Amino acid sequence: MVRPLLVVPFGGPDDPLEQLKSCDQARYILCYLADLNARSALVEPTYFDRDYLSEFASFYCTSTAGYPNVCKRVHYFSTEIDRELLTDACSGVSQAQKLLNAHYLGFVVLRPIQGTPLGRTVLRWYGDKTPHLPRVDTPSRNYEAHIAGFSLQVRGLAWQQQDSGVGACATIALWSMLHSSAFDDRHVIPTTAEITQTAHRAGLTGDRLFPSEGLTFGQLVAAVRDSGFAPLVVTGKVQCGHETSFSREHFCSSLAALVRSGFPVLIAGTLTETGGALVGGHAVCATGFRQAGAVDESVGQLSFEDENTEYVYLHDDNIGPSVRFRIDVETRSEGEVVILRPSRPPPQHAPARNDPVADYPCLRPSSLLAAAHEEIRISPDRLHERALHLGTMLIAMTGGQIGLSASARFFNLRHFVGAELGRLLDHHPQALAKVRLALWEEVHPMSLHLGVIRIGYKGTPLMDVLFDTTDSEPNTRAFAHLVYESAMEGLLDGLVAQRPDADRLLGPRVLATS
Amino acid sequence: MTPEPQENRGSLWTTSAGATGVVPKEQFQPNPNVTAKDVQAAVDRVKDRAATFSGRVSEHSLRASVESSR
Repeated sequence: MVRPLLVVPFGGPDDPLEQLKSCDQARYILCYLADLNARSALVEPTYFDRDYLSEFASFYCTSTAGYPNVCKRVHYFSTEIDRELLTDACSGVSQAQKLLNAHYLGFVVLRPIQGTPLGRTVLRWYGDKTPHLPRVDTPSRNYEAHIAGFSLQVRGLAWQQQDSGVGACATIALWSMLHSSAFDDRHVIPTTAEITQTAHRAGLTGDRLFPSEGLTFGQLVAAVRDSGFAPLVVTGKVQCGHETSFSREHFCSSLAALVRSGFPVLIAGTLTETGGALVGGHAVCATGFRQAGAVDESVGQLSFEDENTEYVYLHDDNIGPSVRFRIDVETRSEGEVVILRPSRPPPQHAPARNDPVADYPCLRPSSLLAAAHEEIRISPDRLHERALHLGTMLIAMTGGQIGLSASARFFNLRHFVGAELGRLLDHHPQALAKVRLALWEEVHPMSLHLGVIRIGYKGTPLMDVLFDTTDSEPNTRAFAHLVYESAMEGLLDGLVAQRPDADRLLGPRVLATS
Repeated sequence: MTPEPQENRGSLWTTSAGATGVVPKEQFQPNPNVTAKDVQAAVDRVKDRAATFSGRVSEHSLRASVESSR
């Protein structure tokens, strides 16, 4: 049986996605690829997909519909390709392989399930048009697709459509989360069927396992824990009836801290129509956000650096991967709460395709969930609380003469001491060596993951406090604080003289000034 | 030095340390009239704001989230 690889024009009648135009998610992906200037597609007519095989074994193999166990995989390119180029790549011509990789936009797996065909999909991000305010997409990772002896690489995070057989929206969001770049080295990514089975292990909800109609938040937390991770839960503190919602400061700071740390974030919330009518509960996965400009600190105030974040990128199984949502606030009787509105950038292609995002409802987040390494025992909320206290004390020491900004995130120790300090002190090689050696030789042996609070002024880092992440909250202490600006020394000396808890709050000082 | 417009500034996680001329050193001095009590009072004033980040998840809020994640 011959199964030829097909090269077809993007968006033409032979493009398998074009044949699915009645599906909202396929229309979104076609728009997304058109904006990436897609020109051609390479179709693998037979592809065994790990996730679909798991779904097949758990559910579809016993259906009388007689579903096959084989998928298609379609690769997209931003250049015209032909059979000759493909043959060259297969024969080992590196120029052909480089050309294909340079124009590779990613792939879509098509399941043989008519109602929900879109399986594992990884697409390249749009080019960043404002690199001074970058899109923060730390959770993305590299995926490699092997075709007839050559490989194609794409950086992104996997998305798929919920099939409602073995996975609903929460399962899919969790599945995307566990693809994070943060977990490359030690964890196997569970399939959607495994996630649903893990979530139901305790069997307390009274719901059947398959077909899956959804997971409760408690089941999601259990699935994260039973997959070998620590669930980090952040819940909105604004009570709106029976729901909780977030203030902008709390939502943006927490989301940014987790995404910057490399952890995609599951957002559980409520879909609402314009005008406030409830559509229902929903879960999505945040994979990135657009960094806001440095905050203009008010004198006498501590600001959180990411509190003005304007856009977040969501993998939404109802729409597609990396859908841009604007972070707005809605005024309710209980106060101002965050609401996420779909806000796709203007189309970069003409004529513009029919975009399913335009009519999509808003999402009001109620809880955030991230899967972190088990060793991380402190939450981003606690880091922000400490940052708030430290910044407030420093401002008070000046008699309220200055305003400061603060931010927090987790770092792997080697990434902090290596890449982060290297970037931060790139113009000060002597200070860099001094700090790195001091951290290795003079500071208490540090944990694999650090909680880092950064205090700054007008976008410039002034100091970092490095926290142990392995202890209980009351006992958590700082390993050290690094001072990047000599003007901070007097303030810190004053604080140490006044506060008996300064050692726990700051740890020993390491000067990172030239 | 004229500060850069806000939209061109990087963030605390993208800017290098030691950018000259940004920090007004004369304002970054401890005020001799500020006592330990004053500092504690400032911390007390942000108590409500800090409670937002207390990290505790109430049973009620978790129950609410149960429905919203379906």
